[in-house]
Amino acid sequence: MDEAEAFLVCLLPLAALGWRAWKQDLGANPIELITHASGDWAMRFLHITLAVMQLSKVLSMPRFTLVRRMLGLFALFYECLHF
Amino acid sequence: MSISWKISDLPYSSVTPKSVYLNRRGFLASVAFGAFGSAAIANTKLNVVKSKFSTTEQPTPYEGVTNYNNFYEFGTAKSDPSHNAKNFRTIPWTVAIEGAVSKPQVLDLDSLLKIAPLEERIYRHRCVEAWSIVVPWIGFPLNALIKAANPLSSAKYVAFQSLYDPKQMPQGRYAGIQFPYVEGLRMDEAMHPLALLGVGLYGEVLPNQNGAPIRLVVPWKYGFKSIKSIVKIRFVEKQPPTTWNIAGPGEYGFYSNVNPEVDHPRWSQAKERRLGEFLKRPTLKFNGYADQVAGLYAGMDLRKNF
Repeated sequence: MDEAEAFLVCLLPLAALGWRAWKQDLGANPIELITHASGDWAMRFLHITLAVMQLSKVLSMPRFTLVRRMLGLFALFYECLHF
Repeated sequence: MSISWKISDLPYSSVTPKSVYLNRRGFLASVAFGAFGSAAIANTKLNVVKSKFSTTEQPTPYEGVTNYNNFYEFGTAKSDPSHNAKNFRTIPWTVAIEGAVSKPQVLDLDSLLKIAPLEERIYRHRCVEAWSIVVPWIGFPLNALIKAANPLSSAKYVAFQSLYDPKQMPQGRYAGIQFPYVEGLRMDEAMHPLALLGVGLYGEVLPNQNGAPIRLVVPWKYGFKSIKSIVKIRFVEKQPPTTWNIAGPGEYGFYSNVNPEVDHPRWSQAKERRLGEFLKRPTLKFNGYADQVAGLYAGMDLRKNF
């Protein structure tokens, strides 16, 4: 996958959150919801990043490794939002 | 806000079907629980007395109070109870009064509502999880029920039990705490004028997710002490077990008075998030009801008796 496409896909969780915020669909405790969502996605990106090398072999997708740094940085990004 | 609401002479057999009631959200125009719309009763007026115990703080919006709930029998997510309790049957309902009383009895909702005039009490509600809301409850003082029950002198505590019906509460299996939910108060706490038996909020009958049809409201304690959907009130001699204390004895005590000076083992209780506000606000001792209740705990070590 091209790096630019990967970048946009990684931004989708943030976009989903922004969409809900715009529609006022964040519930009674919005800060809690944003905290949970950003934390969940930080964890998911972390797990994916750690699994990239193995996944690329198992799924025979050698080009997956090219986005490993980006995935890791997105884990950091969502973690910063969470904090 | 003037609420017309009558403690009724209408029997439960005339109650409007729940589905109809749910479509008519808004102020109760007529009699007791759920009896809507008949022309004969449309003009009967009820008075809900305003209380000197109400706070002047702004109540939390209705949508927040009714869609952000901890009612683990219906699921552990905050949005679960409002989704999963839609078909919870709250009529007919009885509360058994038992234990150290001169005459054990079983009261239905009609009888319960006749015990004392309904009042509006706008109370702060502080969850142990460090969020809080302000709720305009409708109910009557617990001490009125206790006086009517006539407990024996051996009764030192009041124990409460919720309904647990696995058929209506399938999500309860995964809650991680034991059911039926039980709670308790010391007799002087239960007799305190602030302790309320709640039957409504925002001018309406209690929504299912808020503990319909009758619940406890003890505003100076963490919210989990305010047991919902009560089916049993038992007067006992020894301190009764309480569900969250059973689940985590080091984390949830019998007293669980709101106290910014005593942290939960895993998080601070010094501040709380008032729903709707961005910044956290300082937590008040006894949830701001110190003037009224601090005397109950004079001389007690509140760190040991948390």
